[in-house]
Amino acid sequence: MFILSKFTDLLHLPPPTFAHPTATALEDRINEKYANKVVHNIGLCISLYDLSKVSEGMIGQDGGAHVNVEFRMIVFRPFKGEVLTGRISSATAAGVKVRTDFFDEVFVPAAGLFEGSRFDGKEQVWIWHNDDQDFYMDKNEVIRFRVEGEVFVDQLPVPPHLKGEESSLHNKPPYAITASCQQAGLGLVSWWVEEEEDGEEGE
Amino acid sequence: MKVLNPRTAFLSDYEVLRHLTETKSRYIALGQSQGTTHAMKSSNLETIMKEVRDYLRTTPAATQSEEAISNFMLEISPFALEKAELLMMVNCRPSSIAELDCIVEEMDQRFSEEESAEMLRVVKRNLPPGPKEGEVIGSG
Repeated sequence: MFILSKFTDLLHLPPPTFAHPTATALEDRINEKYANKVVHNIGLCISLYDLSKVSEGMIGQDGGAHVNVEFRMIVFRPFKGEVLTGRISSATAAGVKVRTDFFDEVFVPAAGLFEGSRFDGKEQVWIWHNDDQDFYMDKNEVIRFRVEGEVFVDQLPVPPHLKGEESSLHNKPPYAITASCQQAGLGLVSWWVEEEEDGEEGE
Repeated sequence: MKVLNPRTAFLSDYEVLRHLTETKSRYIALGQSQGTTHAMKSSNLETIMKEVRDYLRTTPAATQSEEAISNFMLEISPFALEKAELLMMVNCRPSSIAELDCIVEEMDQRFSEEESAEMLRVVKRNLPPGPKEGEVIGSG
């Protein structure tokens, strides 16, 4: 689910930060710039992992220092085929929307759900019909899914002549994941727990 | 900004949780010794750190330890599993054959039923079960 990515960047340290140790000042700058942001084709940055290389500072116009830094970030970027858990945030006829505490853009399209699933428009819920039993995929239930694909949308600024029009580009999240639940073991976690008890006995 | 290497390594959930917990306690210690202004970090960092910790505390990573994971890796090594499959096993801590089957690709062809059951036993023996729903471990 998480990876380490190596970046290099030229960072500006304003004079007030000189009171701190350089490593601390750089850590704060890096986190301020990257934490909770999506880097195109890389993933969602969580926080700095470590600094690898720091150059000598070059004095800028305001008396601050410009420093070349190489560092590693913790990045949220699940690989294709990875199995993760999240919670159902909403459901429409098109599919089920899933979120985790920190990432909201996971979508399981209707075609990625179990065969025999149908959408109840009145209750706004997907129901999996299996062995003459109905399994409801209620909102806020914990769901296990497989990552099938990812979409990055570059968040470019809107050109002036398009401003005012609701540009479709800006309604799209910068990073979204499509997923599936079509295999035994996937779907709501509560559907598959029956074997947990004998596991605990063995310990 | 330039990306030198988009993926230098995979991290397990446990490693991420430990890193975030350590970072947070370092900030708190800094706040106690030098005044609260030093502990205040940018809001985007505070938000994502809290949210990721909240999420990981509900996963098996919350109950794992370095020792448990390395023991598990030793015991599971006789099975020819891919690195990604091992990572998922540690992160998801499967508790049934169905769950294990999701993680291990084409398990029925690569492993016999006995081998699969043995893999599941190795998981259960070495990795503690994750927190129950609603249970929070190591808050604060």
